[in-house]
Amino acid sequence: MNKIPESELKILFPEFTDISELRSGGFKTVYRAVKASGELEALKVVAIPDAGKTSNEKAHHKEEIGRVIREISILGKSQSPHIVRLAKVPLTHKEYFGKDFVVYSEEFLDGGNLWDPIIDGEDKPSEIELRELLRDMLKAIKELHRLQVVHRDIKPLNIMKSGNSERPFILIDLGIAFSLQGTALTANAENRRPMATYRYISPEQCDPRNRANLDYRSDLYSLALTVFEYAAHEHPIAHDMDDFIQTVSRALNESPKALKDLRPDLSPEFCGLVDQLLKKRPALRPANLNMLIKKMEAS
Amino acid sequence: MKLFAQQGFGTGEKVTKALENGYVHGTVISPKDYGKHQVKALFEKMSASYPSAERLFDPQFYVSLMAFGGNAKLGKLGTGEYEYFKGLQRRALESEEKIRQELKECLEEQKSLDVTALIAPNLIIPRSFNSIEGLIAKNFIRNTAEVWRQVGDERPVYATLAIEAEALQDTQELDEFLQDLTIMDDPPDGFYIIVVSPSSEITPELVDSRTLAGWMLLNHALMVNQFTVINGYTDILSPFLVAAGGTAGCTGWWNNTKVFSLNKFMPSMGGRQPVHRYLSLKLLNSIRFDELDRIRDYFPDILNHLETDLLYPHDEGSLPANKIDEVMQTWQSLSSLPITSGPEGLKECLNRVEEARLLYSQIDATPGLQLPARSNKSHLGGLEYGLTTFLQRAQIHLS
Repeated sequence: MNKIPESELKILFPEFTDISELRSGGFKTVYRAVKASGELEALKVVAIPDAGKTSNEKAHHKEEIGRVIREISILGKSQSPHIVRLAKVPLTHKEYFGKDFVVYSEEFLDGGNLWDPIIDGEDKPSEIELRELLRDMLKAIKELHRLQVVHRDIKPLNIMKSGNSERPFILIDLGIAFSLQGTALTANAENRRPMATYRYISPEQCDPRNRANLDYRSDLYSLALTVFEYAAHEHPIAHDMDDFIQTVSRALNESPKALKDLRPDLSPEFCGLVDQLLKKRPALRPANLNMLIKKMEAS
Repeated sequence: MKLFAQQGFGTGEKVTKALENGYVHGTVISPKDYGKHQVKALFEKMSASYPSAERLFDPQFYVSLMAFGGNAKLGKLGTGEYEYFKGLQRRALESEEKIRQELKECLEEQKSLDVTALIAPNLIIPRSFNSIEGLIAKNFIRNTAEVWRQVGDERPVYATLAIEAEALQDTQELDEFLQDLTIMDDPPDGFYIIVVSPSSEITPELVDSRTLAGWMLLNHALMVNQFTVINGYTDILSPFLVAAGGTAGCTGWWNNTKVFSLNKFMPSMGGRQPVHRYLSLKLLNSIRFDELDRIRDYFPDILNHLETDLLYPHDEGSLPANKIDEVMQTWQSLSSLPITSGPEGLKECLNRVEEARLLYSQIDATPGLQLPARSNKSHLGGLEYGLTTFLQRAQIHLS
């Protein structure tokens, strides 16, 4: 059982008059929670795997709790409008039928993610919108860099389009964020598959030798994949039917398509930048975030 | 293509003339060959007459470890007039505090010179980036901008990156080094790169394809990250490095200003004056004046068809009248190349290697005209394979 029923949540969190499920994936379920005042929050409920008896099970249990604590800690420190904000419900441990859950809330974001328009085949975005997207996500990455954190899971599903001109795009879900200063959370990291959504994984995340040197350029790569896919409705490298091995192999070895071939209406400068951010070697991706943001702000 | 004069021993008359003719865009002066007052005067003269020319001073700090041994030929560097320069043991530089002190002393002294940008000191990374020297070099680079902010002014500061050719051949270590170099929180404005050759002769080893590919990748990664990159002692490699992303190449009049080797800091073994050579752009090589004289009627394309061709008069056996002529011809030829940074420049380089191969095969097929070692086509394989290896590593697809 990975969920607490809505009826039970209403009892556990009486400050909300209405709670309804928005989406669920893995161990995490997100609810739309309405206060009496009409104010909305996104209530996040994370099922923690049983501590079990073996050392591996115990480590996994500890790791999952650690990840939620880390995510909340990062969100609490973030000052960027382009990263989702925490809301009123603090980190709370709940037990339901012998199963551990942690619950907290984030601001409720109106609007949708970037994945839906891709699979729904909606009109492709204009360059103005794409520049805003890149600009906002660069600002988010800059803030994460300030906090010494690599997101590790930037993808269309984790970027919300808000409809708010002050903050058009917002990065969510820091569930597998990696702290460059803290201790590793992943048990037996060397023997485990990398933490990421493989379709958006950077080459250096795939290579155990390079994981120790991971930095924000890994996020720049995933962001470029995301922007490319959102712009062209086509992934530059991955194929839909590929398995894990094939996807990782393509990330490491296959040259990406050129954005200008799929979106010839976009400026060569914009396409060139996205293509450059997709270089396999981190050193060949432009890393000066201020300069990149400035470029996206220039009309 | 942007080219700087790599100034060695001499009065500076050549550089003045080259600046006047627009053959070079600036100069790099080294203290080994010039006293402090002479350097000061040279820069001031250049600044007054050619204000747009770039003026750089390579402090040659990288000889400090060699100088500690006491057997080095240091020229003016060893006279004590350059206060920042001293013999040092490597272990002294393992302290960050000492590195900052050396940076401060060197940049403070250089500050009084009328240079357009400053070159910070560093040591040579021998054989491997993954070495104590590699670590010390990174520390010098990391501290450069901050120390210059404390003691300097508005002029840009470039970090020295002096690397033994062999180190550039290890792709994994180079990648890791580049990964660190391109993500510094407080980087310098640019880099002055010199690659240390095992020999002061321009030999095919300098055009080792792995070295060239690594050197080009270094230029490319630094360009992508907005750094100015001045490549010292590059001669005929200049177009390749500029096409990969470098800002400029440098070359001079002696072999030891065309290729960098530590031999020039070692006691002289004697030797004779070098024979005049002619840089043929179509061959991507310098050939002896008598070879030029023998071939030019059969293959007029061997000439660059620039005004400095007149310095090699056919009716005089193609022998230049003055010592200065060879370097004028080299500078004008290289800087006339229409090489830009990026795919177009890289395509141009590939085409030129192809054209050189074709011309060499025609020369080789003509009885009595075959060229001997150093003038023959042995460098072309290294240039071509270096370039294609670089393209593959940088994921650049030329259409």
